[in-house]
Amino acid sequence: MSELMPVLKGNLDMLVLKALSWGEMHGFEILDWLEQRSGGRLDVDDSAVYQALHRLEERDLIRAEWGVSDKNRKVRFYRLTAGGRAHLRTEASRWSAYAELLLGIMSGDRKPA
Amino acid sequence: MRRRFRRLFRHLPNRLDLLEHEIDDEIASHLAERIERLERRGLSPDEARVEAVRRFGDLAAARRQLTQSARRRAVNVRARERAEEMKAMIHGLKQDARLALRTLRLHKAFAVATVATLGLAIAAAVTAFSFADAIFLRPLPAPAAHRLVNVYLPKSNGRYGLVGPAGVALLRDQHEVFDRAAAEECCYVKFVRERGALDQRFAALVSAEFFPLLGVTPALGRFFRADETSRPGSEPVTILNYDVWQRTFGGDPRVLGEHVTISGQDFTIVGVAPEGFDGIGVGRAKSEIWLPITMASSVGLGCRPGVPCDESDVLARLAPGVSIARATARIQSLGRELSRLSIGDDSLRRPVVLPASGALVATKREYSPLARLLGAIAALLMVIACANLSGLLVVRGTARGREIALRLALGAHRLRVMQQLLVESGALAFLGATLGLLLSLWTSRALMGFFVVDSEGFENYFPIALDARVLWFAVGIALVTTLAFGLLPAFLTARVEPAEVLKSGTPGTGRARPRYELVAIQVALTSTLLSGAVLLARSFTHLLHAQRFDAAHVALIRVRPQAAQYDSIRSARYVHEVADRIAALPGVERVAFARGVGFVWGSSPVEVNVGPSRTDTASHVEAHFVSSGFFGTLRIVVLAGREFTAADGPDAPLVAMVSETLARTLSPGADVVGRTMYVEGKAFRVIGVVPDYLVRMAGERIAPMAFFSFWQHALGPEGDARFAVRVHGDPSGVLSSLRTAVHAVDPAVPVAEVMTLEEQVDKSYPQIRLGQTVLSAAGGLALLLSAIGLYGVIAFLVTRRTREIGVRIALGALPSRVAGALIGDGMIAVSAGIVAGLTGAWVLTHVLSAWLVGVSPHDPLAFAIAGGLVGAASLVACTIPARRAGRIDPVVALRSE
Repeated sequence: MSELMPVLKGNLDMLVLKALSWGEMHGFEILDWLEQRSGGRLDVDDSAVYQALHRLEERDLIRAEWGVSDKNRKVRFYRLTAGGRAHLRTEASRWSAYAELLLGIMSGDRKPA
Repeated sequence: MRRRFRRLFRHLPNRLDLLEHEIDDEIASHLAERIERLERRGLSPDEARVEAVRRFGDLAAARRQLTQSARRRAVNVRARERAEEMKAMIHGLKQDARLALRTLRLHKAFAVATVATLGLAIAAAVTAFSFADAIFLRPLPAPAAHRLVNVYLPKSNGRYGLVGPAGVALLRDQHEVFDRAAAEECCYVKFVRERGALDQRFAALVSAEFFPLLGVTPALGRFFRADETSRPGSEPVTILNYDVWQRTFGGDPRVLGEHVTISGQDFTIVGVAPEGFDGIGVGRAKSEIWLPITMASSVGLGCRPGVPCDESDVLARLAPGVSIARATARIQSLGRELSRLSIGDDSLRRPVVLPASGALVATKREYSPLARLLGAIAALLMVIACANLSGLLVVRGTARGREIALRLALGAHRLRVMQQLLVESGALAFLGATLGLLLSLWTSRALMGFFVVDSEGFENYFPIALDARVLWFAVGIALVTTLAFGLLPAFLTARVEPAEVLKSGTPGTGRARPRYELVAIQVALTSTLLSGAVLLARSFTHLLHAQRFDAAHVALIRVRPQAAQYDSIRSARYVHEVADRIAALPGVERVAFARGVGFVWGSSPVEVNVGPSRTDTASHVEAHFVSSGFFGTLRIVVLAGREFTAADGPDAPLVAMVSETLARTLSPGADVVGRTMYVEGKAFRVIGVVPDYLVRMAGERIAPMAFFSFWQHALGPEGDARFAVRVHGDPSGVLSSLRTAVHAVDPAVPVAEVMTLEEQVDKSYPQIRLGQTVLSAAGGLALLLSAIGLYGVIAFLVTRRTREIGVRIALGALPSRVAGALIGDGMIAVSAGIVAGLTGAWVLTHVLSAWLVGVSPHDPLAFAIAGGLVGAASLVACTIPARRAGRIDPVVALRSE
């Protein structure tokens, strides 16, 4: 399966947090990272990421600061706060537990007789 | 200043257009990056741009979302910062408070002096306010009390005429103005026979709307029905006061349906008022029993139907949405009719609507001068206290100059230091206010004590209480005082230059001059207060040992055969027997009695026309009916002729005595004894002259009096007699045996006013007594405060000038000279103050003339005494610290800093 997959609602925040766990990034870098990590298969609008970033900032899970990119452009850098890190941990473990659960249900064979 | 500027910049992006700029910047740089990438992959600039925008998504929507998000974020940040600021400020204040308390603990004397000064002054202010509150401001104990009003018909002499029950009925029908109106007449003393015993009770006559208007529910039974108070004379029902029910009927619930008898008429008890409800007769009496207003004539009171009558008050509630102004305007058209119903003509045709708060309007008039006096005294005390405090604080401030200079030099913000000083003042004010409030509970009760029992032995209704309004007043006063005396030292601090202070060796700044002006002001106010106090004290001495009759060693008792429904003949026989019985008691020197229309020693409300001839009876005089030996018993000298004897009985020729003034009018220049005087057409022979012995206020005119022999005239409808019993020794000792003896003559007849003559005179002038006590207390307090202030100033000077004084003494100055110089300086200020104060008193004491008896408002002796007291106290206050100056050891002084 190599078609583009849209991001399920609610997951984008978690993905952005994960990206930032790798370090301070600005918006474009985050999109780049997502593209690389998903092999280009994640279908996400640029604007959605920015909205996610501002949402997360509102909730104090990330903090922002204006700076200069390596291309000498004025960009806004984002980084995780302690709260954000904790939130990422909980969300990630919940999500994988959920995924495992679903996988368990879906991959089972026909009901044993 | 700098800090705030920086903060401004940090917050700049929170403004909306700048927020939007930021978002645009972010989006723009993103797109630029994307375009660059795409161009590198080979797209043309235009294609790249299109593709970049496509991949971004809905640009406009995104901008909107992001802006909203940013705005919300900004709001959160601001709220958080404000919370931080608030926390910091509270933390700062807590620190200041802790420091203030520690400092005060270190300087206990100063703290105690300040708190005590404040507490006393605030107690005075709060008490004065409670008094005024009870009389003028307190709303009635009812729901929506602010909508309750009274309606009056103002007279030309400044008094207020009452509307009368017919007028109340008319007002009740004005439904667009009042949604409820009740008639109320208070407080008549009636003798009520309850379960066999005869008791004096204060009765109030009301219409049925009265109780619902005040929003009360009965503790037992019910209140009057509308039909019970609408037609005259038909419904003898009554409602009891809760306390009466408890005391006399033992709280027995079976009291409903029982009867009480008033003036021969039986009344059925149908209800009991709730606990704590005593009617609305503030300043008069608690209502102990309520009767329907239509039953007035059955108990010998009030109005007869069809006759103009102004004996009831109207209590009404404004209809919703109607203001007092509108109500007044609306009822103007009824003015003439109300006037006619009230007094029979239409001279009082401008009715007014007044809020029903405090006491009844007649009581307000009566106590208004006293309330003003109390207020003035409290204000004076507050000024003195503030002056004192200001002085104390300035002294302390300069003494701490070094400490403050150090703190400023170490980097404390000037504003912060000022804040800390204000907090200190605030702490003092808070402590002072608390002390003041507690004290005021005691002083208010003492104040009430003057009014609790009146001259006839009845209990007065004067609820002075600490309620919300009074508390707010106390808080307000405390705040004002904090600002008043806290700001001055705080400002002085602001002017301290740290370097200057630290360089010089002195413990304080060089700037504060001795506050002689404050001392002078305090002394002046004290002198004024004391002048008033001494005047009133002298006046009261006159009253008690009033000119012309001897109040000592006399006991009083009043008998009321009329209350037992005795007719004239039976009453006369009873009075005879009582007189004989009393005369037989041990310790009794003499007995006399007079018809009980006024006090034995007071004026009589009965007036008759007398004159030298049958046609010339122009003089309107007071008529007194007295027994034989009356003047002898009261030790009133008979100036000419003789007084009545037992021979001047009903069959003897008609005789009379006159007062000095009347004698001069009837027979100027010649002897009046032996002449004939015509009274209402009848001829009397004048047999004696007595002095004008009535107690008179300064400025009151002398009332001419005529005296008639008690037994030569039938006992009138009042039917009772007041006895004066002169005893050997202490009159209060015979009171109980007097009461028992008289009661034994006929238990059915009530006796009253069993007290000594001195007591009765004392209680007849509660306002004078009160004014005198208050002024004396205030004067004493003021004297103490001024003395303390003066002491403080001189002591401070001595400390400041220690070195200089040391030098002087070392150079040979006599210690007494040094001390003398200081005392001299102080006394100059004191003298100026005394002169100013006495001058002020000279101008102001005419305010007290209504309360002065036998002394003029400009009595020189009183002023001299007041000035002398202030001078003496001030001299002592100056001398103590000045002598210390004289004892300064020059060596020590020069060595120390």
